[in-house]
Amino acid sequence: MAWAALLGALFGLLITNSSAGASPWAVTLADHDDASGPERLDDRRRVLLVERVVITGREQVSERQIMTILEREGLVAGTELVWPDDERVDRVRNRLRATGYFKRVTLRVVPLPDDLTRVELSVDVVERSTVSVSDVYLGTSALTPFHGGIALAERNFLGRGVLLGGALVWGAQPRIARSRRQQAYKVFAEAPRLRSAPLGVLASGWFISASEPYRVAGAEDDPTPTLFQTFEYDRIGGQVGLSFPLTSRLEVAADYTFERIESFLPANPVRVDEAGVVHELDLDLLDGTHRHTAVDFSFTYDGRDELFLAGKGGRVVLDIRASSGATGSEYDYIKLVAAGAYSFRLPWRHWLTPRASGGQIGGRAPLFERFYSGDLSAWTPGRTQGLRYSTRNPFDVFGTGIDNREYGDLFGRVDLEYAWPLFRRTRTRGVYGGDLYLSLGVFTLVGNADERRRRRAANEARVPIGAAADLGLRLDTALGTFNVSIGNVLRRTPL
Amino acid sequence: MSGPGPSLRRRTILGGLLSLPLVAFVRPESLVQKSAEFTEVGNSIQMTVSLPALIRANDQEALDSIDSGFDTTMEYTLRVWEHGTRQRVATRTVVMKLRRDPWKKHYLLRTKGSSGWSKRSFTKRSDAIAAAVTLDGIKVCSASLLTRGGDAGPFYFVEIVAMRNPLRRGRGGGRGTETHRGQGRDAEWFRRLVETLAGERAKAEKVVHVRTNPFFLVPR
Repeated sequence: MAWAALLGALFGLLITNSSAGASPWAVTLADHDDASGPERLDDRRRVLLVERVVITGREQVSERQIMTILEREGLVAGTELVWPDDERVDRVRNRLRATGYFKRVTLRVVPLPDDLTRVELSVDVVERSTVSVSDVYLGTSALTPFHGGIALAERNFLGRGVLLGGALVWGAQPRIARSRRQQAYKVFAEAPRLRSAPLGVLASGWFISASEPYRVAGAEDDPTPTLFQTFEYDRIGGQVGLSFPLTSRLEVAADYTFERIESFLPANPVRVDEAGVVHELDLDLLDGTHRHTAVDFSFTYDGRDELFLAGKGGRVVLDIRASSGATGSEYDYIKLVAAGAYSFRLPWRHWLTPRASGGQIGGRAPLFERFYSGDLSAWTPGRTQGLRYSTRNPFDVFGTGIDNREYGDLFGRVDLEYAWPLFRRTRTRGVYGGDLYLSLGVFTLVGNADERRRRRAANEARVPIGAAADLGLRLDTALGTFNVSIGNVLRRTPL
Repeated sequence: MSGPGPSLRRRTILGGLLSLPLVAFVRPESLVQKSAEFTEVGNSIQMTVSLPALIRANDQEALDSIDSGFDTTMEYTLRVWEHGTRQRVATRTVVMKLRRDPWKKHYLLRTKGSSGWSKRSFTKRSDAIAAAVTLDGIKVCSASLLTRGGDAGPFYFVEIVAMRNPLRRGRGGGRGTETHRGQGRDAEWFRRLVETLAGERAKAEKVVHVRTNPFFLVPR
């Protein structure tokens, strides 16, 4: 130890000029608390007084949001800071990063002139865009030559943590006589928390102008537009809701939906099948101007933080929608939808996620509330903002007749997804991470009682099974999550 | 050929094909190779390697962190593997902390080794960074753990996971769940809610994951 102390003193003298030219080992010292002199390698802790806190680089995020996090950790003007390794500094940095508002967060200590104990604490931030693209609608089909649109969301509106979003989609003239262009517009705002109160609020509004195709001739799996006619309806309405976090992972929500529907139904719609038999059609919508209202109760269990801490976690959602005269509606039905997924981290750091979802409708729901086969298949166009831009049904991989189904009152779907993380980074010029994924699954869609009777009489499967598989790249970008997959291409092309 | 032969073979081939990408990523040999020097000093195997990708000269986030007056942490996890097998021989973690002293206006690099913290001081930031991204004569394992076989093998290599400012995550952000219920409750909404569950999260501000060239011990 005496030798070490002597060496330490000798090296202490050399340190003054230690720089690039000197071998780094030449200035290596053992840890000596008894070293002295102005050039000693001093890393002893020191208590500093934070004279003021300065925030720089802020544009969209409010100062209040940053200060709230600093206050929670007690790093405000007038408090003491243990330099150089106060744990609160790391915690503040991580908390600010966890908000998702910042690309870069640096806490800096700036000494005040001629003062060894009083400092300015500078919080330098570089914001990331809080605008995200929720969806890009772009496609073409045998029915609609082109439809396109976008859904955007701002996650920190006015620097108050309010989610504000909107979506619009517009389609070209369908290839059916006397049809019209379909379009939809939607805006919504959601405050997941009202200040510190355990309460969230939601409001949204929409206008949808639909030209819904219905089959009048041909085989049920034939998507040729000339075999269809359309009927028009407009929906204008909104939704208001409240959410309550029961625990940090479990949230319940209650919403009220109200809309005015103006529909123009054809008189006595019929379909003539290949055998020439005429079938009367129920278009699942009331005629003329009427009301549709509903109350929703939803339960969301979100265990995703467990996923990143323990390598496994899940999310479960249950939604119950009821519509009747009691809610002011002219429709009577109840709709139940549940979905859940659970992810496991495999020993080689890939992820396996089984997923299941299902739903049932009791009563007579309007057409746009019924389950649609295109929404369940990975390869078939689903509805976009409630609009149907294609007449193509799912591929019948198993030969069970799923390609004959359009709407149903009962569905189920199970998938297994294998995800292969390719890269992940905190600092980026646009792409934060990418995963390659492969999912395999099956689904079913079952019609209402009338349809089931008809299928049984025709000796067709009442519970057809469809295949759902996809392979693609999931990119987490500054603008949102994008999937580049085979299913995405198939859904957007006129096969 | 008859009976289950062909189908079994098909299954084996299919299984092999499906597991190929997994196997490729499991093996540390598949990592990018970084040239390192190995020396035997006493009973220690020491390694010298530089990982400049951990702090690039144009990496503003890293430079800001170093100049902030607080520590920038470099955590190096070193795993010694026997080449061609999946046998891990030893694991070691080396922690370095680099900061600028805003009063004395110099850079201090502290390295935590088996005998405690050692310190080096630099006046130029570039020198401090060069030292912080270099493992210079770091012991990776004891020579007694390795077999001496000369150039006939066995061969060993070191897998290096270098992290700059590892991120420690706590539970819950306290911001509430953005359920996007306002977007509507169609099938797409349900799918999205349970879709992107899995996926990596960044473990550090910067991660460099490489392996070294193989080395062997000469017989005595």
